[in-house]
Amino acid sequence: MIERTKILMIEDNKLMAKNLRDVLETVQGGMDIAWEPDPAQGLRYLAAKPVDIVLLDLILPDSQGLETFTKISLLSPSVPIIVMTGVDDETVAVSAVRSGAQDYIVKGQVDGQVLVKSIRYAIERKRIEEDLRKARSDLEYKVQERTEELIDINENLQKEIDERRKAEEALKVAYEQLKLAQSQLVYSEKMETVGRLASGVAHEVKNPLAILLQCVEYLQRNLSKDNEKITRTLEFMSEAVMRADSIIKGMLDFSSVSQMELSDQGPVELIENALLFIKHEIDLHHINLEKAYAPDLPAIKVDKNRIEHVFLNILMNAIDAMGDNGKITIRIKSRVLDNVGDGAGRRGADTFKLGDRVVIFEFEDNGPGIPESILEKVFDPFFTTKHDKGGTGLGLSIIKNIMEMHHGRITLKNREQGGVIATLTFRA
Amino acid sequence: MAEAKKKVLFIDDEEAFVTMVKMNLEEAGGFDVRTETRGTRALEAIREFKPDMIFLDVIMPDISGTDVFDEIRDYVQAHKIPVVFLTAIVADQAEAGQCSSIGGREFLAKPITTETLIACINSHL
Repeated sequence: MIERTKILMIEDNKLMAKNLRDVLETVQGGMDIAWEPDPAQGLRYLAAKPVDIVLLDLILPDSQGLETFTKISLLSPSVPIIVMTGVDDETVAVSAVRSGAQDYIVKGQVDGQVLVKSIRYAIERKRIEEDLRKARSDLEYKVQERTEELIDINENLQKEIDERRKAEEALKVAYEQLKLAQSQLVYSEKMETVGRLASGVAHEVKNPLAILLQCVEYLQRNLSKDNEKITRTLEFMSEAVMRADSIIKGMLDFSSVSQMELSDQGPVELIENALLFIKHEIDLHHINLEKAYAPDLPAIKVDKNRIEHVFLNILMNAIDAMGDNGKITIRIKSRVLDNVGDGAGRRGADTFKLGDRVVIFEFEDNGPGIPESILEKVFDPFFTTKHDKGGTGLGLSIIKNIMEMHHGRITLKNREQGGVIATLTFRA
Repeated sequence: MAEAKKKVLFIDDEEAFVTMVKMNLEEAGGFDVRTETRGTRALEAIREFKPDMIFLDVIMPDISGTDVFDEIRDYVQAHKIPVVFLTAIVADQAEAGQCSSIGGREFLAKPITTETLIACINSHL
């Protein structure tokens, strides 16, 4: 069954309304035509009942026609409107069409067929417009939905990027730590090799040295003691044997056969004891010695002999570097490590932990300093700049080894004002 | 009558070393030195020579000094013969007149002066 077309006619002129109704009913059946004489009633009707189309008189008495048109469009935007106007008012009708009216008819010139067609087309056009509008709003909705999805995706991406960046940073830190661990590993491997090498070399070299020493002693007793040249020659031989032996001994310190003997030691006593050993050197080279010891320093647990050896080695290096009239400053202080920049960390492998109380010895000289190019190598076994003076290149590597045996740390830095500052850190 | 000479046995594969030590000690006077360069013949040499004191090299090619010590332990303990190890792989140089000790065993580090050897022997005999 075909649905009947519901028409609302808003027309103040009763006669006109009747004429229109007649015309429409004559031409076409199946139309329900409601008539309201004024806009207010028309709007009420519209609000209450659905209609397919509104025929609106633009020259209503108590209303500006266009105003009514606007109200109806707002109230029922999907209902098509055909405006009716007088001959004189075609311009108003045209502007109504521009504002969305489907069509306009001029009263008194209405042909039934034309009107019906106009109504049909109006309904049809409005339906298409509505479909279009709906499609557009669907589209807009979809666009918005998609946009929101994209925003979500974008946010997730950003999050992923942030996470990746964080992971990269963590990776970088881990890499740095790995590099450090590796260099430590290479170092300790080197030390181990030296240790192994040392005991092998020691056996192979010390035995011949032992023979030589016995031979020299025999000759010293049996060759003419009156011959000064022979006496001197034998003394040189004996000294050469002893020098070779002391180099081997230095190497053997790596294999550290003997146990550490740890005991509580006062930092100041340790230093002062070591200084007694080199008083002669300090006086001989007119070294200006300055001391700055903090009061109430805690004791440190160390192997006294080994640590004295460390102090002596550093002091002798400083004196060697400065020559005569140099200046050495010795500082001792104690503090709690409270930031990672102190070289303290939270990991098990870190030498010091945050919160550790440490005792720090600083030895400062005003010599020429260490060339930056070799600063990294000075702790390497067999690295030396003193080949001509009989250096073995083992002094500092032994010292580093001793510091590691104490779970302490040694660093060497050039001072801006020249000279070197050696820093030894012990856990209190 | 002159005091009897102290009989000292050196067990060390370095023939030149033990030969020179023997010459130096005997010339210094008061020592009768026997040398044995084969660790495997240590017990034989001890039974034959009946030393008052023994110096034993830790590292020898055919047998280690500690294995030699295991072989001769019963004999030297029964006869209260002091044994001092000679080693070329220990850094600590014994101070003159003193023998160092590792794990209860006495040792002297090579190279070694005759003076130190004599001081070490005299501290035991």
